[in-house]
Amino acid sequence: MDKVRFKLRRWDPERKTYQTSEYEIPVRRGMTVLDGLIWIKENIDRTVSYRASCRMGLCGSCGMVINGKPMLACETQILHLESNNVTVEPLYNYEPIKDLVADFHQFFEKQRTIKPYLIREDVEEQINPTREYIQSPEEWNLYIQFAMCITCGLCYSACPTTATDPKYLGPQALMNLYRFFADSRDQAEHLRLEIADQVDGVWGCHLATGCSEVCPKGVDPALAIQLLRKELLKRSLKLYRGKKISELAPPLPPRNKSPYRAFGEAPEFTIEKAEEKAREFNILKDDRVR
Amino acid sequence: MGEKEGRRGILGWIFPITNLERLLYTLHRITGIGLTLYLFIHIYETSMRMYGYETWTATAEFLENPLFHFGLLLVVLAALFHGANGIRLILQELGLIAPKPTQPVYPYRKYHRDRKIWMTTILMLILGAGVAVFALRDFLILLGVM
Repeated sequence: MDKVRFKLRRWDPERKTYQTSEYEIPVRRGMTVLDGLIWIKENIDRTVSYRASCRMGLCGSCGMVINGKPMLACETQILHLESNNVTVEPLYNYEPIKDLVADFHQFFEKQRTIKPYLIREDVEEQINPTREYIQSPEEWNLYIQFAMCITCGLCYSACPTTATDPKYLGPQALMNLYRFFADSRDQAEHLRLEIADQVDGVWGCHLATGCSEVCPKGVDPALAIQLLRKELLKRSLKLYRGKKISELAPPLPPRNKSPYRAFGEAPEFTIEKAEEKAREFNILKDDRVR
Repeated sequence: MGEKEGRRGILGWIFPITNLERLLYTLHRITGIGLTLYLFIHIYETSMRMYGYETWTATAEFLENPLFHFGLLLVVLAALFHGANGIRLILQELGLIAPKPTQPVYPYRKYHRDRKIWMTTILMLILGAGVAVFALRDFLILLGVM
């Protein structure tokens, strides 16, 4: 079994400084960096703090900077790093809380500012939905790539603009903005373009594309920002024609005109009929349904 | 904007270098800052003309040496890179050559460069490098090597 040296750059909240701790751990094939951290916590140092949950690259909790690159600890195999030294740091561009745990409150606050939900004119339908909105596979394809985001925050960590500009909305929020802009069910396209059209919005991006490079889900925030700019360019040249908005699905045919009528009428359900059937099949012992 | 907020600061402009565009971004920043500095030095240099013919000639003589010629070559190379990469950025940043979004399929790919983006990047780099050859030739002629 190979041995690998883990160097953890840990934030000490009391001293307000980083300190480095080193541990040597045994490594087997398939072992991830998160497994390594769990091994350290269980066997060497119980004071090590990190955030993790699903261990399968779904929850986006275990984002860390591993050997200088933002990655998910649960999806990074130690042997794939091809190094006997593994340096683990808290995500860059986030305020650290303790050790490897980063504070995401600014990340989620920025996400809130872009209104990450469908905005419709038929407010009543939104509150009390009666039917679904019709969306073609082509319309779905326009945004589904950006709906795969797991909010792991690696993109903020790799972004050079976020490194110096605290007001910049950042790749994840802008990508999410485009996700709702491109969704045919959303009717707030002009509001979304207004939010994007700021110095700290899409114009803050300088296309380093580090965000897309580190994204563990292939979401490509840099592409979303380019597409937003394209729409803004069209708008400024007065070439923006708006987008197709999904309509509500038509109401279902009345019950007696149901297409299932060919298979015979569905029996009407009553407690009495259920009891009768239950007795018929000897399900009830005491002649009562309840 | 120190470590309290966890932001990397200017160091974050350079690291982590994860891909080609990130490297080009870093070089674009460095050459941009270099060219701005050169602009001020150049204005200062030419302003010597205000103090009379003798001062101007003395300044020109002072600058007439291989070190400053090499500096000038770096300025030309920086300007070429900055210009060619700038054209690529305009085309790419405004989404004029952006590919269509597609549903990600495992194993997820990284930043998606389709043929248009590769073509633009390579063309601009060739354009910059091509002109740089001429600048280098002039520099060697100036040194008397060629």
